[in-house]
Amino acid sequence: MGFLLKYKWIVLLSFFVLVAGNNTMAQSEVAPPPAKTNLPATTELWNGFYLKLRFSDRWWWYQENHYRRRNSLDNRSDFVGRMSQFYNRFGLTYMFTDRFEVTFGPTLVWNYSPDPENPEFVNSVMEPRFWHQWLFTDNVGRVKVLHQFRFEHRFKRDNDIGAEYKFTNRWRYKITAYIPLNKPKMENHTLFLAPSNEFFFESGRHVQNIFEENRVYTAIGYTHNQLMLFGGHMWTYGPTSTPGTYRNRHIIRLNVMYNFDLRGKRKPITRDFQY
Amino acid sequence: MVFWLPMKKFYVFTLLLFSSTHLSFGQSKKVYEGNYIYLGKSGEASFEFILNSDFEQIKDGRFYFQFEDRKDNGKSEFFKRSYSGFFSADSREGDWEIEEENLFVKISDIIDLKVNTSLSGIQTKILASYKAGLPEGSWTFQKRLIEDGQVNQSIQSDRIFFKKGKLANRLEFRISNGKSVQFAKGEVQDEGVMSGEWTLVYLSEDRLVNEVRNYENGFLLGLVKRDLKTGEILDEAVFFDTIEKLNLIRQGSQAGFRIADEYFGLEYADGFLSSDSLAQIQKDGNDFLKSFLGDLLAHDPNFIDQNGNVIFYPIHTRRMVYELSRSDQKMVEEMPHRYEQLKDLFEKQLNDPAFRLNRFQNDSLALAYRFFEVQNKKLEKLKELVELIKTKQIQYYDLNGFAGFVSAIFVEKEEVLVKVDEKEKAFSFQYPKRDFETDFYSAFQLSLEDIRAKADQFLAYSGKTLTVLRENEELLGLSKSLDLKRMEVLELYEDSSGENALVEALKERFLVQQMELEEMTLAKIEGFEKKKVYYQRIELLLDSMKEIYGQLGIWTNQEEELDRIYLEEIFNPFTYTKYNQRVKPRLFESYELLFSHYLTSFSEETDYTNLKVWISKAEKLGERIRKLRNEDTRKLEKSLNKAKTISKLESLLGL
Repeated sequence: MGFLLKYKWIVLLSFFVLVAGNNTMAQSEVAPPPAKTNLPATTELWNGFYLKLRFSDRWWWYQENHYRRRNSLDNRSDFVGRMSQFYNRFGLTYMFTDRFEVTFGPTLVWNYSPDPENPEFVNSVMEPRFWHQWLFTDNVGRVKVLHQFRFEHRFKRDNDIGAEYKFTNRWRYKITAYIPLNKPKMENHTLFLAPSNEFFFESGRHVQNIFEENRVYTAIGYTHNQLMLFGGHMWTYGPTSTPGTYRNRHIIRLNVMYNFDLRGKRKPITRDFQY
Repeated sequence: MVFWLPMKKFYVFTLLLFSSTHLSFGQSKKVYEGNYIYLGKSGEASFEFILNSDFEQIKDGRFYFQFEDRKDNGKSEFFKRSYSGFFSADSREGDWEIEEENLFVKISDIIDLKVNTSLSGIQTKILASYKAGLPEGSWTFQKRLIEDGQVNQSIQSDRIFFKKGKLANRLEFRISNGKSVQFAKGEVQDEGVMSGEWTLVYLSEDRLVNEVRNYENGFLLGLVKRDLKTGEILDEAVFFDTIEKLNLIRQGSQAGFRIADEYFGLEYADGFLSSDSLAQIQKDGNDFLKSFLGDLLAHDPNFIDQNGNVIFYPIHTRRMVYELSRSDQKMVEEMPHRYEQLKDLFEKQLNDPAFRLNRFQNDSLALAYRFFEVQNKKLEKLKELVELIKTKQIQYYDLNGFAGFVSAIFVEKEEVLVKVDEKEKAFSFQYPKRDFETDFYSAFQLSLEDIRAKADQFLAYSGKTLTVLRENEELLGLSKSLDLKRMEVLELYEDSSGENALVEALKERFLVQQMELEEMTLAKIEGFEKKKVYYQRIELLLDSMKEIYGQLGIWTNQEEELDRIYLEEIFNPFTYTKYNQRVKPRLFESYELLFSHYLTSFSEETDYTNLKVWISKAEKLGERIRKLRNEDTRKLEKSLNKAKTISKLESLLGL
């Protein structure tokens, strides 16, 4: 023991050399990358309700509630065979200008069992998150373009009984265009197209592939006073937990958006405003 | 002592001699320096002068005068004029230099403490030469137009020659502005008479025109105008009558005319008036020449009046002079007087308020008034010709050229249309045929007498009829004040310059048609009291129309204002877009329906007393809608949804 204490530096150095040596030896044995496998496509149906309440000139309440279903185990094309997620996002938005705002708040998601008949799975597990985002808006002619940078810090676990929570950070960037079809610009009673694309990146101790998913969404919508109806097809593509294996999903999304101004009677303002 | 006396005489003599020589040298020139007024401008002068026997200053010797002025009205204006030359016995003599500058400096911006300015204006320099007060010898002229510090246009000539105050040899000048060149050149004989071929190139309606004129001893024989760029002939004239007369003179076989000794202005005329095409074709070229000569002579007292306007040009044309017989001479003396008498008579009748207001009383009065109107217009057309006769200038005009013109005015048969009781009737008048070609003056005089005779007949009738009215001073006063009021209100409505259809419609319906009806009715009313009441009724119409004019703004201003008030800005927080949206759309639609109904009724209203009613309704509607903007109108809007008629809408809105 005295020998170890006296020569602790030699011992520590030797330990590191051994570990490093092992590691290098281990790393010298690099496994060849697995062959790429694309899993067959699956289908889902997402129904969402979005709410924005304005309670001052700059502060807003933001809320999303989604009811998501997915295809059955024995039928990949039926969209609604199993329950998928019950998803609720809340937040406070500070609007610096019409072109830039910041939102932050909690998200509570319930993820449902992939196989409800299977007793080895818990029916639903909760996934809490803290999220924040920056949103920039721009105009290209009469088209409105949105750049959304969203960051999520989540505690997630699988539905397996006894599975543990893992912490991951998620970075998302979405670009959306609002293209008016029947009016010169986005205003009331406007039919519009809204294509978008969102990249998902993930990091964490357990994350092997930083690229999580890409979502391409083509939607059509209509504005009517305080309501906006919005729906379309989304296609996602991304890696699974099995290296080299990728999945893709066809998702039908149906959304209702509603906004309300709590500030009281609006005084008539007519001024030259920027679209 | 004996020595002294002769010496004394010597000294006295010598003293006297020197004194006398000193007296004779007393006419030596003095010099004046100080404030001076020269050619209407107050400045500083320095000149030599002598005193005449009346102790008046006679300029004699060198002369210098300078005038400067400066104004600051948004841009600084600098004005400077100087004259430098010589006088001899108060007349200009020898070489003179005249300079004038009228410059503007505007500060356009100040960047980094540096002042950016813009200079514009005019600079003129004339080198002149005089003899015994008249231009003599060679002159040069230069004028520069400056814009933004650059010379934009320059006018110059060094080919100007004078002899005894008239242009001589040739005249030539150029105007260049970097893009085009305008010029004039031509020969001048003695006494400034234009001769030979004159070439002018000038800008007319943004294109360069090449004008070539041919003169013979001051007589204009022909003129051609071409588009300089395309060569297209724009206009041309050949003065055939002049050519024929010159040929007759050359052959010695002319009769009744000769070349006049006098000299005339740039405008050549021989048997045609200023409105004739042969006169009009010369105008552009003459204006071009006058513009240059005006600049050249603007500083010479021989050619300008006390206001500095050029009144006499040193360049001339010539004319024929035609013989006048003794009887013609007598008529030339008398005719203008008869013309003016007749003209005054017609104008007096036409401007008589009582006559004008009552002209529709019956056919005869209406006809008399219309007759005077027609004859007055005829006399107006003869004004220029009569002026020539009055000033005796007519002797330089070939009367054959006027025969056709005058015959077209003094026609044998004339039809006059008269409106009576809203119907139009035609009346014919016959006049004796007059031969203007054989005996112009006689025919002219007789034609005037023919018109006078007919006018006297109408006067006899109208005079009697209108005497009753004229004698009644109160009605006359009412007529006058009504007439004034009518003119005032008409002027108001005519100010809209025809752009506002509503104003035009009101003017036509009430101030023309309705007024005419009222005047017709007035004319038929008998009795002073009844007539007076009707005058007041017409006055009420005019007062109402005046008041209504001041309220017409409601039909445009109110709608704009309420449209603005009933809009609000909406922000979509999902698409991040803003747009204007109508507030309380159903309420606003109801306003629009009612407003439109009131406006239509107003524009179609035929009773002027009801016009104010529609205006008042529109005002009340606007007030109510304005008030409802910030009230809770949900129940009201639901009810408005079901309302179909105007009266129901009015009732729901509490109107």
